[in-house]
Amino acid sequence: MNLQLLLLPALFASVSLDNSSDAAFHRGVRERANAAEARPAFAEAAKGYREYWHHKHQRGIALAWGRASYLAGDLPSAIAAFRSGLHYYPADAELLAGLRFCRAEATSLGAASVPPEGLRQRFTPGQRLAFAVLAMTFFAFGLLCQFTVRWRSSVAWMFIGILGLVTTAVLEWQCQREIAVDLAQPPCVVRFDTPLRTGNGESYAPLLPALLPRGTEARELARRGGWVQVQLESGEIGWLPEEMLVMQI
Amino acid sequence: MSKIGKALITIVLMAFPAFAQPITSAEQLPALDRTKEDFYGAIVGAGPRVQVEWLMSSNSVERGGELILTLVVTNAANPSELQRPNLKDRPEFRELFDVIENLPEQPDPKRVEFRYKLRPRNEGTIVLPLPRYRYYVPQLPEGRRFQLANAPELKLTVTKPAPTSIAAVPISAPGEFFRLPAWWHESSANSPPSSEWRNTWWIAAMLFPLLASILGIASYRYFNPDAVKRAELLRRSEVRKTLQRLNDANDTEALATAIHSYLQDRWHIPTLGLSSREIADAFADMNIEGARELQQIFERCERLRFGGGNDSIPREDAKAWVLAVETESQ
Repeated sequence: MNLQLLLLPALFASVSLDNSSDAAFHRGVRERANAAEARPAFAEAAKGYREYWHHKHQRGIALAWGRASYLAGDLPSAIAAFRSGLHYYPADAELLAGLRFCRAEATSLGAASVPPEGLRQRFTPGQRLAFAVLAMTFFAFGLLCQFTVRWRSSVAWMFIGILGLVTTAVLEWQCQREIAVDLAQPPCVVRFDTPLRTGNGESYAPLLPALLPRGTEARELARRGGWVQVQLESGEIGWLPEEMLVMQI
Repeated sequence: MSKIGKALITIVLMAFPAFAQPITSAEQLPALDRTKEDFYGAIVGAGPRVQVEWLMSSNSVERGGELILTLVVTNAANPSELQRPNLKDRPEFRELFDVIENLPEQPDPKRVEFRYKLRPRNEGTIVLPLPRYRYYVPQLPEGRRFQLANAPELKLTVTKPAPTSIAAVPISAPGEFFRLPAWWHESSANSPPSSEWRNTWWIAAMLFPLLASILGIASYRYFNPDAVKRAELLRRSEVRKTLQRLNDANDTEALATAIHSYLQDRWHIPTLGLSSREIADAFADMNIEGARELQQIFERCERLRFGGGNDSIPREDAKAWVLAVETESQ
């Protein structure tokens, strides 16, 4: 009872945060015919959802955050939001659709470095497990035949089953590796068009002839003095100022 | 002229060198004078003093708007030599204006105009800084020859920009982006789901086929006590093949051929050219029971083959004999 009383203020605080963000989002939707009026409301909602995402990694919050960010005109934050959600809910169809849409927008703006979708996005955990169960069923059936009626094809059934199980194990290993890479080298998105430099300072020469376009995705390798060393999908490694990046949370 | 007169003229010329040679160009001035502060080369000739004034394209301008300011210098004896004051170097101007560009001068032999395009920085009323412009008056005594030009004070009003009526632009996005998911009903994830493998139901689903298979094997063995031996028999390819051939045999000849093949492959008894009795004897020599039944099967086959009759092919007897022989030989 006492514990519940203690938790009550926290509960009210979270509810008020939810309500204010949702209210801002709905205000933006009402004003959608006028972007100048609607965008600040969406930006306010996006800020609230982003804060809430820090506390609770709920699928819907990531979705709301990504959508609100996009509608606020902040494409890099929208990409980061959808990616944050997909890190926890890798095959969620709505998050994936949002990310694909934002990436298409970023590509049309000139963003060249768009990473391919990983295996976690292509195969849902359910699909992977269903495949494993099927493979196990094949193996078990072959085993049953081998030790009872000794059908000629029982070995073939067992072989197919083992092959399926090995495939599933490899698939699973690759998925685990993707998670490990995400944790070791957090993804980030370029906030504004900015030059990718050879070192961590304005005095270093740009690595690429053109500015790195807004919405370009990269991976963080290191940090030093307010600068982040990033690697692009194409392999180039350079430095960008911290404030020019939106990090995946 | 007398000597005294000449001497007086010489003294006057030495005291006032300007009278000796009229100065009409800045080039005639000593180098130190040419670089004097706020002196842009204007020399006063025989006529009136040099006049300097500002002209503005408008007394009022919107913030962010542009203004053309003209510095007009008249009565200079050397208009072609006048230099353009650089407003970008003047702090009092830099505070008030962005100097966008210096416009080209307009050629006029009597008055020189230097034009500047400016953009006011702040709103309000601006008193234009007086132009600090020195000119040289050779007729005046030494020390007073550089005179500062006077110019009337000018005021500029910088107004707030008129609100521009921009047509409302709707936000373009897919329809679902304008819908909020009912996220407050969802449970939250504290860590990225590596997979669903930790889910008990999924583990059960994975293990179910295996457990079912083990259960199936156990029950098969339970309901077939001799299943071990049977499985052992079936494992031998010769026995399997023979049973298959006996199953497929449609006549007595095929049946006999299947038994002959079995005896050759499994027991290495050469059956070629031997009668059924000789084969049975050879089988009996191996100390395995079943020679008599073998001979009976052969005899039945021969009877059916040569004598006809209504008797059926002894297929089942042959299969039973093979299984019996194999069981016996274990």
